[in-house]
Amino acid sequence: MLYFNKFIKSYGSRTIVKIEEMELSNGIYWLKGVNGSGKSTLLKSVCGFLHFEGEISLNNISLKNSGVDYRKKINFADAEPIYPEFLTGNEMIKLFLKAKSGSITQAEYYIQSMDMGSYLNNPLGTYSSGMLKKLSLVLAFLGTPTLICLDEPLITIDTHSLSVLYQWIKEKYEKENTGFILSSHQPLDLSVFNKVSTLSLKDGKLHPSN
Amino acid sequence: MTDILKKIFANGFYKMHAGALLFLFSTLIIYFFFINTLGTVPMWAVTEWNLAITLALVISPLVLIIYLIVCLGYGFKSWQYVVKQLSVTHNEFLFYSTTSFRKYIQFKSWFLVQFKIFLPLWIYTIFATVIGLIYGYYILPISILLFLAFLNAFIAYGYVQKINSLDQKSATTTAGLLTKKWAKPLFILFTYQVLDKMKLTFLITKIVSYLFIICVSLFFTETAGAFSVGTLTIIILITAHAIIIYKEYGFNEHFLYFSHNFPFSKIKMFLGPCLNYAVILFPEILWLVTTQRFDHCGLIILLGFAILLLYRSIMYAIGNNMKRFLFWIFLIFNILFLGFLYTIIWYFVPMMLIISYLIFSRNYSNEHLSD
Repeated sequence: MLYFNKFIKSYGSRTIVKIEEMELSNGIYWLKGVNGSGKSTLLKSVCGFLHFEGEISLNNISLKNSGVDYRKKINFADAEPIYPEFLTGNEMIKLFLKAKSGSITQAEYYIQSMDMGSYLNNPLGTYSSGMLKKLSLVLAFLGTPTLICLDEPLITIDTHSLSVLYQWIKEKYEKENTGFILSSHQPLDLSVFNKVSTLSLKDGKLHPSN
Repeated sequence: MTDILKKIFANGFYKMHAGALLFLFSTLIIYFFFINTLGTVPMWAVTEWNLAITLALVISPLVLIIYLIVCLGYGFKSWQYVVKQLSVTHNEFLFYSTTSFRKYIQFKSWFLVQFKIFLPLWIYTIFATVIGLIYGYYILPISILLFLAFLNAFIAYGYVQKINSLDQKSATTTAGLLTKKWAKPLFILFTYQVLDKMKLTFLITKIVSYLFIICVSLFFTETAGAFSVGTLTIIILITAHAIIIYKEYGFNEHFLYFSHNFPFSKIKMFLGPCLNYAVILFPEILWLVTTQRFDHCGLIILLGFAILLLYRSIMYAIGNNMKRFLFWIFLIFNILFLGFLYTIIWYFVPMMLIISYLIFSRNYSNEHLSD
């Protein structure tokens, strides 16, 4: 599904992540690593935010050669999302629905299950970090992505929202066969999912393990 | 505390406004010291005139009022900058650290911060005062000094009040209320940001813009045709919008960072922001439409957008770096001006469009976009 070939992400002369060749089949992955190990950098490279050397492709669609098609199939939620303060939550959702070809029904389901309806008409400048985080998670689930990358999804949200998020991941994976990469230095609740593969990022190298 | 506040606010202020200050002082220096006059001006005359200009500040009430207005404007701009910086997330710690000092210590620190921000004003005021005192003028020089000290203290007191007050985050802004029902597509969001957070910058840019239009129209109408006037004006107008272009890049990379994951082609991301500028430059476009022939108007607007896209692309190549941006703007502006003088400016249009797309395409996801 996700294929790396001669992937190198560096800042100046400092290499952050280097993957000679690796293929990740469809599934749920827990990307582990200590602070500063390059988890966010790797996810942002995979999701088309950052320049890198080498090649990444998703279901044989190359990020560099077919950027538009690739980005249709991959969604992302930032660890600490930042959005324009004057926009409302609803306006952000509309923006993402259009860009990611999602449906209103789909958005309504996520909004209701995360209990966000009461404040979505307020400007984002008034949101707490938890509210912004939940919004970013809703946005990452819109459309029909093949892979969703969630950067530190466990931070800042409450335990109820966390269980709702686990439920979303499970449903999306089982019903739509959507893959996930969840970066976290905290342990995931693995009992919710049937199978989670682990990816450890250490010294700039990615080590898969089951 | 004083050192930290100076580092964040005073240094930050100079860094942010380096362009404007550099432009102002370099223009003054060039004007006063290097400009060539018609005929020979004896040295005694230069000294006497410069002395007269300086003395005018401490003798003439009119010059004094103009100077005080400049001080007020400078003070307002610095107040606006500091208050804006106080609301930035990474400065939030100041609300629960500096406020634990006694109020008079806080006031002393903020006074020194404002003193550093006011340094150009202080230097010039003290210089003029000393000259005034030497020549026997006492009331106005001391009044200016007192006024500047009062303004410095008043603004510092304002900072202390601001940082000790409880934050009242409004649920919406006036601009937010007015535009509540308007559609907000991605490529128009910066315009909303301008309406919401950059009203003063926008207003100043428009005033500067229209001053240039008036100046060029007044000085060149008799010697050049309307088309040439329009061409020269658009080069100057787009350059006058450099600060808006700089801010737009910052806004995109900070608040619209998520859009890098949108399935949009590079050409769409490259040309899309023109929609923002079509709105922002509406007053200038209106002036062109009313003063130019239809076909000329189209050509001039095309030239304007080609320059604008080139300036934008430069930002993607150099990142959020005001000094380097100003260097490139200065260089490109001079090349464009030479192009205008030698009437080869129209050959530049396709070149600028191609070069700016290549720069954008190459740098759209580069190292400047930190993770």
